Amino acid sequence: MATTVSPEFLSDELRNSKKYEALLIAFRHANEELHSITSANRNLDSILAKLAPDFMSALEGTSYFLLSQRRKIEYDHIDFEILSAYKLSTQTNTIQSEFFKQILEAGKSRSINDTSRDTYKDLEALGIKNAVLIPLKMLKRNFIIGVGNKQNLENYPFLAGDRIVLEYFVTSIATGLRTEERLDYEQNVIQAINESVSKGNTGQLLRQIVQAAALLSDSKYAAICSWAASQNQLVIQDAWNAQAEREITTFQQFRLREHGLNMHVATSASSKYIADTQNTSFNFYREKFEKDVRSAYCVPLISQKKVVGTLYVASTQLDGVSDEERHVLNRLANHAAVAFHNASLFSQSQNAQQLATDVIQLHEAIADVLQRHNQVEQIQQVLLEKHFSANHNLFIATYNEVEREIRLPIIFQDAQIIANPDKHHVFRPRKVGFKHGLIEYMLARRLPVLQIADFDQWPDKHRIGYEFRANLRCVLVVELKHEGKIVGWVGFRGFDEPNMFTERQVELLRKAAPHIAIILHNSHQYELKVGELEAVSRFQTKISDLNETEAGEVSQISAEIEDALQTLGLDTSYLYMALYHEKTKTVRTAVANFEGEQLTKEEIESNVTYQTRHLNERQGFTEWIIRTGRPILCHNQEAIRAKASDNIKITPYTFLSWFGVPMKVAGKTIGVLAIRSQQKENLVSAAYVELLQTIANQAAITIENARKYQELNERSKQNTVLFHASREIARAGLTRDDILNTLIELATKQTGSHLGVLYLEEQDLLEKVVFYSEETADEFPKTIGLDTDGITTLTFKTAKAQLVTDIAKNQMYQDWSGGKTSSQLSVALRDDSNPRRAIGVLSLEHARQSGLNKNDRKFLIALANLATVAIKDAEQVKDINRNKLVALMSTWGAEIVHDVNRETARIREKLFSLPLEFNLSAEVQSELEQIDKIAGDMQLPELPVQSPDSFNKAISQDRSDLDEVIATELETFKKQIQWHLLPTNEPRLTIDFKQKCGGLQVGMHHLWIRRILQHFLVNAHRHLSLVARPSIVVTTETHPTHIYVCVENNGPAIPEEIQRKLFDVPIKHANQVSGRGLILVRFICEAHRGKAWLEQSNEREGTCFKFSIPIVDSQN
Amino acid sequence: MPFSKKIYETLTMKKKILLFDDDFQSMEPFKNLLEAFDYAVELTASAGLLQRLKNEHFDLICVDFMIHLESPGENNEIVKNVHYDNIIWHNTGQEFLKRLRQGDYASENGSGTSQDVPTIVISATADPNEESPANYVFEKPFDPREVLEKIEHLLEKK
Repeated sequence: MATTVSPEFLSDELRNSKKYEALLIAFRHANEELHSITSANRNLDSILAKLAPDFMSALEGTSYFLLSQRRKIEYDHIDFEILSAYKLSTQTNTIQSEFFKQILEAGKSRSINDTSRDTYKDLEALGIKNAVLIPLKMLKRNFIIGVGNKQNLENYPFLAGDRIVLEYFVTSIATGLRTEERLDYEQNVIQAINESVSKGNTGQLLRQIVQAAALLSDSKYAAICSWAASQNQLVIQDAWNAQAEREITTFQQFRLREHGLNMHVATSASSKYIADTQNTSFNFYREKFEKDVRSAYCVPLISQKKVVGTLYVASTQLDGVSDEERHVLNRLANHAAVAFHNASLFSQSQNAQQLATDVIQLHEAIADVLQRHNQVEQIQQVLLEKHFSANHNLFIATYNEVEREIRLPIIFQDAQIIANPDKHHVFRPRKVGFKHGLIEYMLARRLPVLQIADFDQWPDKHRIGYEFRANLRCVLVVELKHEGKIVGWVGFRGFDEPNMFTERQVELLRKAAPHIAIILHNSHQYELKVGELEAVSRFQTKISDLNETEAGEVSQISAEIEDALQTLGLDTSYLYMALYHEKTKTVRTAVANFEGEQLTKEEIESNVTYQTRHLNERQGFTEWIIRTGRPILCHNQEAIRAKASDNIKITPYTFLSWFGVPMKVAGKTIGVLAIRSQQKENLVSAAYVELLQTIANQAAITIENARKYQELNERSKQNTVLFHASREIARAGLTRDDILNTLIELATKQTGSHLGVLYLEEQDLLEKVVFYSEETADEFPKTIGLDTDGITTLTFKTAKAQLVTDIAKNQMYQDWSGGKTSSQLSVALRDDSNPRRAIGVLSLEHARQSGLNKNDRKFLIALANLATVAIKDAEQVKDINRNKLVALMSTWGAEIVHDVNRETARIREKLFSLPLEFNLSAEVQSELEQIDKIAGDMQLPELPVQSPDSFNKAISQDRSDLDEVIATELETFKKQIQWHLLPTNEPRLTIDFKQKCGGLQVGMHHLWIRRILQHFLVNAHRHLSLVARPSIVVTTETHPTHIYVCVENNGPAIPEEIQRKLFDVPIKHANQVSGRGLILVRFICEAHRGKAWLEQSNEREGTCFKFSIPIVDSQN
Repeated sequence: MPFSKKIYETLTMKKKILLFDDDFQSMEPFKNLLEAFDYAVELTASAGLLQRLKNEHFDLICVDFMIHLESPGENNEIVKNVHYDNIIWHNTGQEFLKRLRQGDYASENGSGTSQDVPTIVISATADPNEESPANYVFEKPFDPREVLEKIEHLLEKK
């Protein structure tokens, strides 16, 4: 065959064919790598290393290298690590290169064909004579990928096309990984933040937040401030310089009050971005560290609708915080706010708990010694052991009101204890009025506390006698009072410097004072009646071993009281103790003895006299004592009857004696202790009444402590559960339902409820999203109309929590628990942007009356807030996932695929014409066939070209005439069958388009609609070959807001195990190729505010897929 | 009042563009595009061109770097192209541009193509990051609209 083309050109064509073959293989491998990216396999280094041979082969290079640089934000350095290399003339693993730094800075790929110039000496040093270089910036590292030293350079150098191809390879892999990497990092940070909260490590927490903020926003500076709205005060808690990797310590120079960005954000509770700090009304450049700041972003930290602080980042680049980075910061801020708030709550509760524990320990330590001198020494030892030092110069003074005498059994001066103070010229016992000490000063003014931070500045210092005030710098004295009488003082004197006492020490001393007073009083009594009080001593010893709960405490105390009273020779056959709960105003009988036998709980509750009741329900002795705080002492039946009055309507007239005293703590009556008898008159002599009162008060303190301890424990437990919940959220994965399931389970278990259920609003209905119970079957309706009566709908409509402690008394309660529920608590999930509006309801049901209480309400509201944040986060994550896929679709579908398809078509055309024009050897022929086959196997979707950034904006404006689009696509599809263009061929197939929607406009680009339809059609067609009369029917259904498009076929049913995950995971086809088509379909639909689903698939009715697209107003 | 013939010819004369390129097949659509915009365009890298430049006036030259020694021309005939001894074929365009600017192809009476003629590099081996004697540098594959815009800009300015 004659040829008009020179052999040189023939070889060119062959060369090109080979090159394209290599390219196609490389594309296929890259494609496979991209599809096989999983959470466990996201390592860019290893993916690129795997593809390196393909890159080299496709570009005809003979060398390859991958350089990496640890990323320092906005900071350029020239150290590079050689991660992988092939045929480089260097043995080192690291290099320093200004040239590579510039490549990264410019961010542009390059093809360089001659490295002999000085500019390229760094490449020459690696033995690279010519190269294609691709720079790549990831979150934590920068990379440069290079393919160099082209084969047969004299024939062909590196072309721009080579560079573009390699860039596509690398960036498309990086696009997916970068989003994953960022998401991963975000998730890790959030988890780490939550963990820091639960560990109570606030410092670490704040550092994590600022570091994450700097890294995620690519900014040089980040800071977190706390906001005290009441004082209009912003305080920097931590600030970070990410370039230098150190904290910014010049806090005080960061003036927040002067029209600063942080102040604005804190007061307006909305975020603010300054793209150019040189062109803004906000103050910048006042501080040294701000001199290189060019843009800044600040976001408020909002927890439970209140601003708790601000998160601030500043970049040295103009407009340096991108839109996406700001979104990431907003998300981080949500978590930071909750964490920040929880951390401060946690530390508050820890402090309170610690203080309570210290007071209790103090009590324990001093309770078991009774002789006064030992007692005082014990107090001294306990106070100095842990809370104060000798430098604080403790003193303890006792006061005898009758004698008006002050004694100082313990006093320190200059950190030394004064031995034998009774003989000391200053500190010996004195009568009131003879000297002018601190105690006289307090006594004269009835001061319960005297705290002088700086004695020199104290205006009254001259009122203190010289012998007492010499060298004095600060003072803390607390009065010791028992039953309204002053029994002494405990105090400290500082001689070294002013302000020696912390707030905590003051608080501790104030809390311990009533205790010390009782003990001093007791020991005073002891001195008077040593023998009688032995019993009290034992009682105190025994009850000092504290139980954690009130119930445990009461049973122990009652036994001890009985024992103590019996030792004193008192008859406890009719002992009685009732406890009063101020919050619920209920009176409960804790102990009731009758003829020496203690009534059981059940006997008490079934007895009208003793059963638990409201304070106002009855007017008996117990109620009177509780109301008045005064004792009732009746020696005989007559006296008992005589007590009847307007305020006492019921008298225990069956008794012959009745001695009841109030159990008091801190002036409050928390119960009644009574010794009674149905057999003896004059059961107790007057002398014992005071003793009885002391025992009652001791018991009261212990019970009250137990109550507080229990409450504190409860609160701290709830906090722990909240932190636990945050952590669970971070772990539960990112789907909304997983998170909500976890939350409901936690709420149900924590409150001891028997079931938990969550409804979310969905188109004027409440839709059940989660139901949790380990014991009760789910009989709850799937949806509840908003006009239905019920506690759930009431909660939703009022957006307020509803607590029903006894459902029998509530008309609104609807029972779906099979009669199991006795109390219910429902809280509203509130709309973030409008707190008055609910978006859902979280309900718990308890099997016991009052099983759910006010404490649970607080807890559940906190949990509901967490749930709202979680739902919002999950939605945002869904958006991220969608954008990620859209990005992948765009990158692959639009840019590469489009080009590849065009090139493939060209190659195939060329390949087809080559054998016609030339005589080719069999070997070349077979090679060409091979190439043709590979080119033919490339199946890539054709999608409209859209960049990921413009995607969301663009789709909101798309309009299509649905009937027209469906008709066009069906025509095209029929032609494809007719022309044998589909992988399988089924000429018998009938295709119908029924029930058109009358020219309605829908909000989706026609190419997307056709892409979705095409997918359903090709899929259906593929499975129809075994059917007798294969048919596909496309119909539309018009709904108020959306049009549903149904694609039905009469092919075989889809296996059930696949049906469930069709739209969620890639489905393996028979040829082992993973199909992602349906995921794409789903994301395309969701991106357009529609949905895609499998309506049905069974042998009888065939298979029907549906998708919905929103209708748009054609005028708008 | 009628224009003089000279003025009329000057006003209606098409601007002449030389596409110095050996790939007739791939550059022909671009040639057609320029012609549609009323330019007179010649697409060639044939060896005889260098001599013609001394007498013939071009308003603008687009230069490809990689010039094969021979290539198929408009009618698939073999064309012998510009080639410089000791210069590898894929640097031919660079050498051409260098010599053009040196005045190697300028005529003494100034009737041919000026050594300062506006030039645009369009080549698969061009690196826009490097300095060039040309007014603009484009990589192949290129966006015809972008190049057209630059051509119009250069010729208007002139």
